[in-house]
Amino acid sequence: MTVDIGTGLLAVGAGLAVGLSAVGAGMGEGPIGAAAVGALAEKEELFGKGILMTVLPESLIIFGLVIALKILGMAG
Amino acid sequence: MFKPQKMVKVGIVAPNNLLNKVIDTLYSLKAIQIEEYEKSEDFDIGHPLKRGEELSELVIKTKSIASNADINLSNKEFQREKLQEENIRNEINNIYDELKNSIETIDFYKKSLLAIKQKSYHVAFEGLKFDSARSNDENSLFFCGFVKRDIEKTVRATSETSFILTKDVDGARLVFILAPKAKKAEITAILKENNFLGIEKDEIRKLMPSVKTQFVDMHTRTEGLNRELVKEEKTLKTRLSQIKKESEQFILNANEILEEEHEKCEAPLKFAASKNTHVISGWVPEKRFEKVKETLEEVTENKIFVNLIPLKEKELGPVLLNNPRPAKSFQFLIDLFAMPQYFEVDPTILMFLTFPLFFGFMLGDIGYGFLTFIIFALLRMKFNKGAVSQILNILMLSSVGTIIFGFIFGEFFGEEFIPYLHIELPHLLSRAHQINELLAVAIIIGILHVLFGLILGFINTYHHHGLKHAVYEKVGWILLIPLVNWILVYFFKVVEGVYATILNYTIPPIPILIAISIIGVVLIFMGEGALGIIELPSLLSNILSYARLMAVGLASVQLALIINENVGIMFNQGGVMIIFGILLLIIGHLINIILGLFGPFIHSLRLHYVEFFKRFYTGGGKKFIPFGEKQKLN
Repeated sequence: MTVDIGTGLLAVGAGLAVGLSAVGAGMGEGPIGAAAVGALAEKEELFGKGILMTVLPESLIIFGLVIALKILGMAG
Repeated sequence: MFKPQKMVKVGIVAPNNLLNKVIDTLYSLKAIQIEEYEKSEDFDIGHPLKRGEELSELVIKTKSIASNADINLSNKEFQREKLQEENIRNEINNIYDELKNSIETIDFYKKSLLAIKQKSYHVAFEGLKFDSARSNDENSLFFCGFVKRDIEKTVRATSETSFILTKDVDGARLVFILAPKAKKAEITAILKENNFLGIEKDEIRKLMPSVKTQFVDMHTRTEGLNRELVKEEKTLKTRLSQIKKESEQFILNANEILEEEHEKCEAPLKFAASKNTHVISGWVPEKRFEKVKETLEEVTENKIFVNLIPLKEKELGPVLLNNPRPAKSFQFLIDLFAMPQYFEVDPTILMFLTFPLFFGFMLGDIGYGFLTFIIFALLRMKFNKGAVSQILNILMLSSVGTIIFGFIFGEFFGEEFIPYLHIELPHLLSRAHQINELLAVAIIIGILHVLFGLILGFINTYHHHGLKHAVYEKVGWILLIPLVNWILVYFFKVVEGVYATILNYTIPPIPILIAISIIGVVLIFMGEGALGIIELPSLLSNILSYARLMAVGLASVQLALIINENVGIMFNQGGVMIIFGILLLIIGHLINIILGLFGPFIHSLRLHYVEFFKRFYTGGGKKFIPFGEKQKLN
């Protein structure tokens, strides 16, 4: 399978879109998750709120994924 | 079904002499959650029933026996038996006294041995003086040594001239006895009964030169004491293991029954009490009210008064979810998140319908589906109680979802084509090749799910805050959905082909689209204020979030395909490689199944908790815990 440089760069771009947004989401979720677990230890009923707060930054990666798919679409 | 059970508030007025019966009946009915009465000027709170004290003593004794015999009282898996309280009392007291005696003896031996060995009893002799006439009397006897229990009374009872002095030596009990010779046999018997350990004659003479009477030397036992101690410890150990073996059932049952009785005795603390009556108020599910009333009136021969208490404004009852049997397991997931409020829609049944489908959409494989179903069914036979069984029920349903989507995707252990059998599985949608279509389907599912959530939200808000708020808060968001669809089709272009055509039906011409979007934003601003405006993009990101339905599944398909491909290569090489190939096949798919269960479970749960619930669910209701139901002790 031969791939020209342009397509290759598109693939790298798609990878960066998902990868970097995942890193961003992870950096956001880490401290929130830690705080949420801390709160859970005190009060178990907070599970619902805790999970809501923890996954908030996750929409980042979804946007990254959409962009990656768009880029791959350009490669045809 | 879509709502928690309706609750009514009842008040029960019972004369004091019937209180026992009423408590017993309520306890066995398990239908009322008692509201704690707070002391006021009009009424005091009740006092615990009289037998409570004795019961709590028995509870403590039972627990102490269990902890010594290594019986786990939190174990709830045992054969329930009906036991008479009288029998429990006798048996528990017997075992307790026996163990106590044995443990005390060991403790006594250990302490006295130490005192004798370190000669710490010497201190007790300092400044000790006896009446010289008696201590020199030829008709007197002198005993000195350690005893297990307090024997002052019994010794004094033997004769008027018996004299006894007790001293404490590092926790061991040292006694000095002067008694008439005639009473020797009697005193010796008392001492023997109390494991007397005498101090050697020469020692005493040295310590108390003034005493001239005859000494009774009983120190011989002291020498063999180490052996006796070991023997006693061994006896205790065998007895404890015997109790665990023979009486574990009894202890567990007794503990449960005693705790129940004890709880009943403490119940009046929650009641309002006057001189002659008690008033119990609490919540009862409406459909059980008549039955509760009838039963109470029957056992008390109509001598009590049961009535409904009118609710204050905005007073909310505790929440008891009410779902058909198959969906009941999903109450666990609701409880994990937050109980719905009393007036809220109970989403259990919705989760029962969509959770397995989302799970199936992500895992979607005939082979994995059947395999996991069998594993969970086997596990389910083993665990038939508690949270584990509920999770297994949920997983079994999810496996069914996996099988259904396995057929839709035409996948068997990742493959669309079964080698050797040469069967090409038919499919509606191929996950390996039609990624864009899969994405479009996932997003359309998202639009429908979020829209459904908004409609539920409308119903919830309408019931609790009225139509105006419902329109402001929820219709505004619903009006924005066409705009989101337009963005998805024309701007992001993530929905293509036939799916785009479908979505196009929901998008009005541009000027109208702009108009309803502006109305939507204004409504949201009126309903939720500036925060609502900040939240606007969340509608789009929530819907896009359903793209994970495609993404999570894709990862597991790819992993399965890679495993199969490598195994195929190994099989073609032949020889030893075939064995390695089989190993890779088993381990690889096992890992993929474990990942494939974990991912879809979490993500399916998240789509419900975050994207779906956010649109209608507040939660925070108080769970209905009836009087008589056992609670988890923290």
